[in-house]
Amino acid sequence: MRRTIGLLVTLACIILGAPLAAEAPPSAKVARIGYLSVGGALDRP
Amino acid sequence: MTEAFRQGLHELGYVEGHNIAIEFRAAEGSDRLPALAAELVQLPVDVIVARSTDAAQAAKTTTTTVPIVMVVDADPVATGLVASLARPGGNLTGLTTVATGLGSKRLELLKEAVPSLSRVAVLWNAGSDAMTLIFREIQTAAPALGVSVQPVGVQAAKDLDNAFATMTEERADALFMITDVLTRPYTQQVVDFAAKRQLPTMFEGKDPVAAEGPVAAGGLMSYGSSLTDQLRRAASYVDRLLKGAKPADLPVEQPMKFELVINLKTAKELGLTLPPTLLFQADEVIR
Repeated sequence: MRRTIGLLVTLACIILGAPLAAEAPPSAKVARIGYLSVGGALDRP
Repeated sequence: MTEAFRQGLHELGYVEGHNIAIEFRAAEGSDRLPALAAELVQLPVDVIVARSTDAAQAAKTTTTTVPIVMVVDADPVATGLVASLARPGGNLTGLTTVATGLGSKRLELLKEAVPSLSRVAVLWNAGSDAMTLIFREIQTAAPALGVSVQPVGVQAAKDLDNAFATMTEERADALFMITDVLTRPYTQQVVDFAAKRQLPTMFEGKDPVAAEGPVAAGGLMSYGSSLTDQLRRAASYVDRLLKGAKPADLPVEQPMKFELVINLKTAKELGLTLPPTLLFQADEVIR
């Protein structure tokens, strides 16, 4: 009996926890670009 | 100028502040480029976009691991930036605004407009290896067209007056200006000088910055690729590199499309009757 309750609690935790895990925002990666120029309007040479 | 690059990124689904951040560094000259390249590497950045031969050289010297996308105005093989266009090697790839035979084509067009052309003055920044390469290409192409070249190299803004004096003394039949950060601010002066001396002019292309390019400002003609287009395309290199592509495997792109702009008003003032075959090739005719 105690074992069955334990299993049910574990199962409930998994079911309730799953949506939370799915909804957790992904750690969005922001790519960082460096733009190097000599300056001036034409950016040349 | 950077707007075209931003636009290219936007078209690929990148939104600044959301999934991409751009760190701009302008050296205001070439001396500070190595320090600024080092600063970008230390931030760190995922990709460096280098907008010039000098900037690409500085970035290449600074890092062998961070991918570099160059947008340059000279042959990157000749300047030693890449091993070949097809297989650039190392951590650098990107685009160039020049193509093989461009110098020759520009002279051909000028000769078509001015059949009597036998001597052309070429004004360029002689302090820049990249611009000197463009000058040499014109110099090499000239004899085949029966044209000799009068070299008018400048290294600083103060040299411009001497350049005008030299061109006045050794009277050429036409003037070809190679535009860069040094010569560009003097475009209108060059156009005015040419008008005063009745010299037909050839420029490299439409000015991507000014609302009015050198031809709209009174120059006779220009022929070149679109720098704006190349900068927009640089974004696709960034995209591919961010998705894991290796720079060494991405061939360097040369421009595919060139634009010929002709000012008929200027031609009339110079007493030139341009052949229909030339006008037919023009993408834009200013009347």
